[in-house]
Amino acid sequence: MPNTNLEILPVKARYPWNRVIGGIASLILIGFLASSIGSVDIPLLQSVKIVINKLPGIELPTSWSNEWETILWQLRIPRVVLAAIVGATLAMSGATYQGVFRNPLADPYLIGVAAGAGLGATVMLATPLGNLMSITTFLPIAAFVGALLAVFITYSVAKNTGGLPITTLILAGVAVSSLMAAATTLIMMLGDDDLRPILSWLLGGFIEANWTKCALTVIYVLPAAALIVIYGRVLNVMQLEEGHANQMGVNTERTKFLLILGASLATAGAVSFSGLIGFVGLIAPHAVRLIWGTDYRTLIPMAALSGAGILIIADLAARTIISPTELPVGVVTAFFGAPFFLYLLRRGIRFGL
Amino acid sequence: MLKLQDVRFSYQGTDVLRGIDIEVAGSEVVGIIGPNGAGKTTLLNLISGVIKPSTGDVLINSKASAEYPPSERARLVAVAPQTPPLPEWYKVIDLVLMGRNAHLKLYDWESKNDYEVVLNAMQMTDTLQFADRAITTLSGGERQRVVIAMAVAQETPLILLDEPTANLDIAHQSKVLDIVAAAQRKRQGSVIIAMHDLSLAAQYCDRLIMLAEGVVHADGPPVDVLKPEIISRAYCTEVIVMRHPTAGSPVVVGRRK
Repeated sequence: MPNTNLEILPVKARYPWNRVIGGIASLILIGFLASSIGSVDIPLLQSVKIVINKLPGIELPTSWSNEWETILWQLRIPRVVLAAIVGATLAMSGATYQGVFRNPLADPYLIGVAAGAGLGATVMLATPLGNLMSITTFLPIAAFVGALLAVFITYSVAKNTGGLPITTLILAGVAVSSLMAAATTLIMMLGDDDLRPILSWLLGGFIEANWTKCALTVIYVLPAAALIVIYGRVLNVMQLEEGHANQMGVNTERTKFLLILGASLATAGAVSFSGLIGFVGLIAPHAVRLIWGTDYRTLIPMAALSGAGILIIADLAARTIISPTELPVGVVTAFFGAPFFLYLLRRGIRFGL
Repeated sequence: MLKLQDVRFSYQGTDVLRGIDIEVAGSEVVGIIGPNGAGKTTLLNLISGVIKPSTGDVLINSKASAEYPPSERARLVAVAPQTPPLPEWYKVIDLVLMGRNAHLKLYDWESKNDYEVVLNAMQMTDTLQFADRAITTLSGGERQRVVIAMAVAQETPLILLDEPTANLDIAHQSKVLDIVAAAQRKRQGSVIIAMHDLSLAAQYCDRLIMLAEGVVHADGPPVDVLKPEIISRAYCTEVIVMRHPTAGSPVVVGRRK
């Protein structure tokens, strides 16, 4: 046996703070750039000043017009922030579903969770139920119920075919998505109200973003994110075959239950205030695996930051490409995400790239 | 430490185990042998609590194995399954670090001590040299040693190895068995090894338990268990038993008809 020096391998068991901080810094830069671009261009430096001026206790000499301030603070920044939160949420949930199902193609959109959340939300919006309760408060809860219903159906169908093969989960997700979408359409058509708000909401987008929506989304996403981050190390062990993970001391049933619950809650929160946006949960985690490897403790925060960046940029594209008309942001993500999905299928489904 | 009382296990209407009584106490290296389908892997899965007996008790420190919370059980029993699927793209060291899971709290990161244990386990199994490589790049035998390293890193009083030598070359067969057995003796623990190779089992085990048709066919020191008439009855074939020229342990070879 070679007499190897045990010191050669450094202990790397530390939180990847440098990466996370670098990611946050890049994200802030992307956010300011995106906020500055639009039908009215605002110089980047002025945007930064306007935002700094909003911080408590700071008064900068005003060198900008009120119009800029309103556009930035009331429209663009809430929109960028909401896009960031939703992008981070979808990427985090995607990475979590991928880890729990040991399936590199799992994504809130592809396994039917997003459609389920959409159905739940539509029930609130289009039926008398919505008149009985405060919509903004209960919308995410209804979406959560729908999301859980969808993931439960997808998972139990795929599980019963034995060993949860990768393609079965996705096929089950496609069927569940179609079913949920059909039910959503039916409910919409039965209601006699104006359908346009629901329709535009379902297509996905941040046109009606405001600070309240940002705050409400965070309320649902934050507890889920905390849970998922805490389970990062265990998610690594969960990549082993289930009995093996159990022999390593993981309560696999409880872990799966909690993580699916968390990812679905976060997805429901995001879907409630942004509609259905696909593929972010697929692209971001794969890109992060390529760059920083498969450790879920790094993967989860970095995927969230990347997802946030991706969706800010996608939303910027959605509102500028054919300006003054806006594209639904889901169209932009699908244009990049669907070919990426096909690429993953083509070269053989596996984690990483 | 370990006690099985009248353990029966049926799977889809077939009786795999039909009344097993085994006790392992103190520090022992126990080999589980027997023909294909005798229930060796099932027995290991029952001990590790992944499956429950249909009737009877599998007791670890007087408590039913399946009743333990997984993390507590994983501090008592470690398992190296036979060719388990491993997540591609994980580095070898990250896999072996998973062995420390049962000793860590949910939000804990591996400490310096955990790393020392892991590196030590990798040195014992001769896997340290590819610590930084992705698991996909390893051969079958190398993967098998990584799986054993994961179990060793759990630092448990009882280690279960399922066909640990099936893919190993002759050098690594004796090296891995020797070192795992020595490490367990040092911490007053035991190893239970399911094996096909009777001569190898005889060489490394203090005690052999031969399963056949779901019951304990023979149980005792290798010289008492590996007798031609006992083996012939269990395996339904003629064998010749010789003595190992240096170790003195029984060597079993088949007889050509």
